[in-house]
Amino acid sequence: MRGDYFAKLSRAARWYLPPREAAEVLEDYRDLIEQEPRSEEELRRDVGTPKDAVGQLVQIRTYQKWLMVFAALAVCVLFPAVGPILSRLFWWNEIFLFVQLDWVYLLAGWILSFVWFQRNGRKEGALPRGIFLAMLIPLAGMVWSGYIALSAMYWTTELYEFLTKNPLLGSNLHLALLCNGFIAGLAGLFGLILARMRDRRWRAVYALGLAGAVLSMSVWALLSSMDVSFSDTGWQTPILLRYIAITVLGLVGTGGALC
Amino acid sequence: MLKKDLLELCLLHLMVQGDQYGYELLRRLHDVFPDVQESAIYAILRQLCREGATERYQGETSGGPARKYYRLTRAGQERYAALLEAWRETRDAVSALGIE
Repeated sequence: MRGDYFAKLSRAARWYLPPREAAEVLEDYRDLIEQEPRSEEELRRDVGTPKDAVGQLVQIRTYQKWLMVFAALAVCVLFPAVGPILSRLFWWNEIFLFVQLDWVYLLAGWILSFVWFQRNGRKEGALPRGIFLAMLIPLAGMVWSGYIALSAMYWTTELYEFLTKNPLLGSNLHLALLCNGFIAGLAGLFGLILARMRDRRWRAVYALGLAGAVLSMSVWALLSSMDVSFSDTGWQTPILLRYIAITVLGLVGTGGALC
Repeated sequence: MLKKDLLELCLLHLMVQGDQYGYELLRRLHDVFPDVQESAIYAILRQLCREGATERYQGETSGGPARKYYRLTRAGQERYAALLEAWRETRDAVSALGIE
């Protein structure tokens, strides 16, 4: 029971307080809790609920600053993940204007998360357990998006004919792209939360999730916007270069975050 | 004088008597003010540290986990003197009304 209380306190401290302060506070509370055996109920009575106990230590301006950074980073990763879904649900065609800004999400998310966590993040010992497994999710999605993009670019006619003959497959492909971006976005958000609460190197999952969501949104736009003039020769090159740049930037960001 | 100031005064008063083990500070004050949760006292103690009125250090131990002790700084002594003065004024004002 005391373990439960401490686990809840630990989660609250790591979310509300800057990493160094959270570590100090948790050390003090561990000392306080271990000195005298008390049930969780007694601890709630004498010490307060975990949220209240941490809430009294929060410096509002510091926490608000973190919330603003978190909101900005979450928007960067969630817009490309959720935007295409909203577009499909509500026929929101203006999204294609926002797709052109994929660089903005990617760079803003990458730079802001790098600067913030380098200054305010905590890094402890060996690489966190499970980080590579978590990175596999957006990475697999990026490989899949890349495969779809290459297929669309180099077997355009064949793919078009195939999907015309199998409309259900086309619909499923569209749905799968939406899910792919959404899952990459969720992975990115998961990495962001753990970068705050556990170890700043979880930012690697955020960087990869961000690149995965942006790439997925761009490929989805390529297949959905009907904006490409197939009669022009070499239309694929700028798009391909864009995708390569997104992938490289995502991988560089991930590598940098692991250091 | 606010209750928070009173708790602050009590914490500083205990530290005037010598360096104090953090856990003991919390327990002693909680015993005197049972309606005040230990987390509230701890928050005041941390604030005093942040403001430079107290500082903490690891005490020497024989085997067990390192204990954290708190001691008063020069700024803390000044803060203590100011709070004590405020407390005496409050006490005199209340006494002047006939409240014992």
